[in-house]
Parts: sequence; C-alpha cells; structure tokens
Amino acid sequence: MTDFFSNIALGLSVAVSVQNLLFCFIGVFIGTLVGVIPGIGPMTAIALLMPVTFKMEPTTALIMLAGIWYGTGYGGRTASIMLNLPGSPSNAVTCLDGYPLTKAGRGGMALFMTTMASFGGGTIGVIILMVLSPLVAQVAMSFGAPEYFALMLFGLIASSVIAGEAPLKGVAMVIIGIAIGLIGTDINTGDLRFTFGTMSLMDGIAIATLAMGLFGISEIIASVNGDDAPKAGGNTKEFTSNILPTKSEARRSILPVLRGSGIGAFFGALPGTGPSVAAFISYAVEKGISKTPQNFGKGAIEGIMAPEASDNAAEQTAFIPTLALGIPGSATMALMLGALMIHGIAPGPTLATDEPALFWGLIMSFWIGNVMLVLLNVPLIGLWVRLLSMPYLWLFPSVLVFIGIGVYTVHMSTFDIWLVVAFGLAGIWFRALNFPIAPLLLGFVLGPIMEEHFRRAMMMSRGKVDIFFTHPVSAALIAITVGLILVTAYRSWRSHAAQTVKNATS
Amino acid sequence: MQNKQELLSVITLLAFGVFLILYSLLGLEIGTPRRMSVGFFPLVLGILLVVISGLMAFTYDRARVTKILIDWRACGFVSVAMIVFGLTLRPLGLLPAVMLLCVIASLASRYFHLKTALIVGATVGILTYTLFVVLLDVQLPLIGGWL
Repeated sequence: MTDFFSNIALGLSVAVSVQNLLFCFIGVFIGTLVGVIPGIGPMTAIALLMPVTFKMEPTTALIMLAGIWYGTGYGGRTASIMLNLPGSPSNAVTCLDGYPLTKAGRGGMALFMTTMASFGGGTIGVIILMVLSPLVAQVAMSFGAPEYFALMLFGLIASSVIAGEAPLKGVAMVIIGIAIGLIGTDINTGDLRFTFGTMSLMDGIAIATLAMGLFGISEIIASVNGDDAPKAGGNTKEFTSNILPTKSEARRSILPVLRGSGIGAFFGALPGTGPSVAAFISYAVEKGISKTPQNFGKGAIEGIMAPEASDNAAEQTAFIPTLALGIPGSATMALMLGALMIHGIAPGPTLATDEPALFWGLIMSFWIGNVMLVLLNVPLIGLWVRLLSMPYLWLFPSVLVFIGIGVYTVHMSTFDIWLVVAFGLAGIWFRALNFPIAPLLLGFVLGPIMEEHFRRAMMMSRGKVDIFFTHPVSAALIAITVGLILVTAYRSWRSHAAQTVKNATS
Repeated sequence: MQNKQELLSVITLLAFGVFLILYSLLGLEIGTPRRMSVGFFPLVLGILLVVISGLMAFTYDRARVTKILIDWRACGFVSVAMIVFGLTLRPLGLLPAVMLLCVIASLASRYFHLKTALIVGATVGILTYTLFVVLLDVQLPLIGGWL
C-alpha cells in the first residue's frame, strides 16, 4: 500500500511540472475544440499532433495526446445538445434528450450538468484505472509468447466483431492492417518485404502517416460537402445564462452518473466496446429502470447524465489494457501505443515498473486534465458556442495543411505526402464499401508484435500448433475467441435467414 | 441493379488476398512452421483474406440494391491539392505551397470562395511556419528554396 501512495506522489510530481501542465492544457483544449466541431474526430486530431510530439519527452507527448482523447468527450456533447448534431460518435445518444432540453430553453443547464457528469465519470474511471492496471500488469508478467499471441488474437477479433455490423469486414480490415504493418525490413532476418524497390519503404510505414490518411484525409473528403459540415451557430446568450439545475434535477442526476460510470468503466476496458457502446448501453439501462420511461426522448435529465458519465469513464479505463498489457482495445489506443513506440519505449506489463514516472505521471495527469476540462467548459462555453459557427471553408484547408506538413516531418521527405494521399483514397474506398476503418489501425500496430510472438511460440514448440492449446491461459483465450466467432456467425446467419424469408414473402 | 457494395467488397478482398499469396510465394522465403521465414505470415494472411472473400461471396444479400457513394469532386481536388503541395514545398517554400494547397483544396467545396481561400492560406501558412519552423526546428524556407 505504501508503494501505491509513493507511486501516486511520484506521478503527481511528474504531472505538475510546468511543461507537463502546459501540454496537458494544450491537449484538453484541442480535444474540446475537435469535440465541439463535428466533422473532425479525435483520431484525426491525435494523428495530426503526433509529428509535433517527436521532439518532446515521451511522458509529455503522451499527456498531451491523451488529453485530446478524453477532451473530445467533454467537447462532443456541446454540439449534441445545442444542434442535435453529435460532435463525436460517442455523444450521439446525448442528442436524444439534450436537444429537447435546448428547445425547452434549458440548454445552458444541460451543458453545465453534463460537464459535471463527465467529470464524475472521468474521476471514477481514473480511480479504477489506478487500482486495476498494476494488478493486471502483475498477472501478465508471467505470460510467455503463446499467451501473448492468444491475447492479441482475442483483442483483435473482439474489437472487430463485437460492435460492428459487418463482422467479416472487420476481420478483413484487421488482416489488411497486419499486412501493412509487415511492410519494410524484417527485424529477424533483415529481409525486405513489400518495399517494391523503394528506399523510402525500408523503415516501414509511419503510424502517423497511415492514420492521417485513413482518418484525416478521408474524413475531410467525406464531410466537405456533407451534412456534417457545421453551418449554423447558436444564440450564445441562451446557453450562458440560467445554467443551474433545479433541486429535483440535481437529485435525479446522482444515481444515473454513478451507474453510467460503472457501465462505462466496464465497457471501456474491454476490447471492441468503447465510449460509444458504453454510452448507448447506459442510456438503455436508465430508460429500462426508470419509473417514467415516457419522458425519455423529451428532455429527461437522466438520459443525458448517464451516457455522458459513461462515455468519460470508458475513455479512462480504455487505458487499462493499453498501459498494463501493451494491447490497445481501440484505434485511438493503438495511436497512443504508436506514440510510445516512436520514443523507443516497449509497451507491455513491465511498463509500470520500468517507467514508473511515465506510467504514473500520465495517469495523474488525467486528474489534472479533468479539472482543466471543467474550467474550460463551464466559463468558456460562449467561446465554444461561437466556434460552432466557424465555416468549414476555413477549417478543412487548414487541417489539410497540417496533415501535409505533419507527414513531411515524419521522414523529412515528400514520399510520405504521396503515401498519405494513397491512404486517404483507400480510406474513401473502404468507407464507400461500408468497411470499418478502426480495426485496420489495430492490426497495423499489433501485427508485427503478433508475428514475433507467433514465431517464438512455434520455435518453443518445434513447429507444433498444440502449444496454444496446452498452455492453460492461451487455451482459455483461444476458446473465448472461437466462441465469439461462433456466436457472431450464428447471429449473422440468423439475420441473413430472416432477410431471405422477408425477401421471399415480399 | 445489384448489391454493388458487397460485390466490390468481395473483389477488393480477393485482390488483396491473391496479391499477398503470390508475393509471398514468388518473392519471399516461406520456411517451415518450426522455423518460420519472412513469407510465412503474409502467406497465411493472404489465404485468410481469400477465405473471407469467399465466405462473403456466398452469404451476401443479393436482393438488396446498394450504390457506391463517393464525392469524386472532393476526392479529386483534395488529392491534387496534396500532390501539388508535395511538389512545390521544397522548390517554392512553405508559404506559396500552403497557399496553393488551400486554393485547390477549397475548390472541393460547393461554397468555394477565392478570397476566403487566399486569406486562409496566408493565415495558416504563417501559423504553421511559426509552429514547425520556428518552434520545432523543421528545415523549411518560408519563401523560395533552390529554384
């Protein structure tokens, strides 16, 4: 226990250094900004800022990038509540009851109260992260190559089949991602793979370039003439006055925040489910247990508090598998790992013991970041409201410039600019065919590590695949993975059959 | 009139899979399971992709009609803008390259407005120069390189 407190003290001392405070602030500020503006997601923002972090201390870099991630959770609800337009996917549910509140003239109260809900959820998420990740890391210390391979397989399959509506497409994207991750020089033999004779591909593809193309460029192309492009601005006055809730509203908010945080913390830590799923489930739960379910969709305060708490709790606990196991559960977490690896830090269960200053400093910065976010979101709400009316004609060329210079700085070569265009067009193609993009990035980050563990396991077992089934932990994980595939196959077979019947009868 | 989305998905995956298989068989050493060489993993990935595209080919809903929705105008102008940026960055310098990018990219939008594009370009050009060149030491001239 004394260990625990000395770790917290160490973390705090790292997090409150002037430099880290400054970049934490920049991170949560940018996070709120991209959260407020629909049409740019957290992925694009984090990828955009990655090249800027190359010269920073790794701890500072992660503090800033993480700030963007959980900052979007705060910013995202602004557009949901004011314009009925989710700033990021995880805030979509908040539209249901947030916008009716705005129409009833209670928008200011809704914004204030959801900031409090986000803070509550974020805080609970951080506590769970602090307690659980050292424990998880301890368990994982005993893992060998077969266990790791099985764990990664589980993570990849789970994240591509659980939430998506097209599980096969998700798995295909993981595989394509793994293949892209193999481009470059093989670390064991020095052989070149998929370099097509170009020197520029020998070091492999930079994660920043891949993410900026797949998310940044293709997001812009998809939304430049779409309905997502923000147009209308709100009336600021309406949202800055009259922000306090009534006594009954305040009382009815407490339990939904606690329940939402619990649900969010659970789903955030699992692969495949993230803030969006967590927010959606906690909305469903609140509606299910409410004595007045008919009020939902008409401005029920429970219907905005629970999803917002849930969303922010999930954003924090998503760091548990990422930091404790080195296995990201979502594409954003894959970017965080990528940022660690750029600085030469190998993620895994030894991270907390090898790099305690980074590990605890990052976690403690979440507290500070959450406090900053409340300060940014309550008094400055007028600024964010006005930003919503910023024309997309200003926004998207600036983002493209940032992408262009950002990828150029990765290797100081224009080759990465050609690559980012190619990935952007690939992203558009996959979007048009209804493929989920996020699993590709997960596969990209985990692919080379998986190949390494698979190779090692096969050497241990002298070429027999049994090794994955004789080690109890990996056997259990593979059994769960197979179960997951079977359940998904059954579900899609059933809906397929139902569809066929429907087509036949109509 | 057909389910174009699914049909093209199957073709895309099949093409990827076949490419991976051919590349690993022809260009890389496969090795044995006991001592895997560099071609082993890509070969397995290729086979998996072919299998998945096969599964999709047999199961997709043929009665549904879907279309491919791509904003070709945006695709074209954004790509050209980025390519022009890449070509002009070093010869012309940061500011002209940024302004060219902004003008060409703005053409992607239905609300194109030349003056706005130029103002955005100049503002962003100076901001990025400050951030990347002054603060982050990236070696790029503001105007003119080795023309």
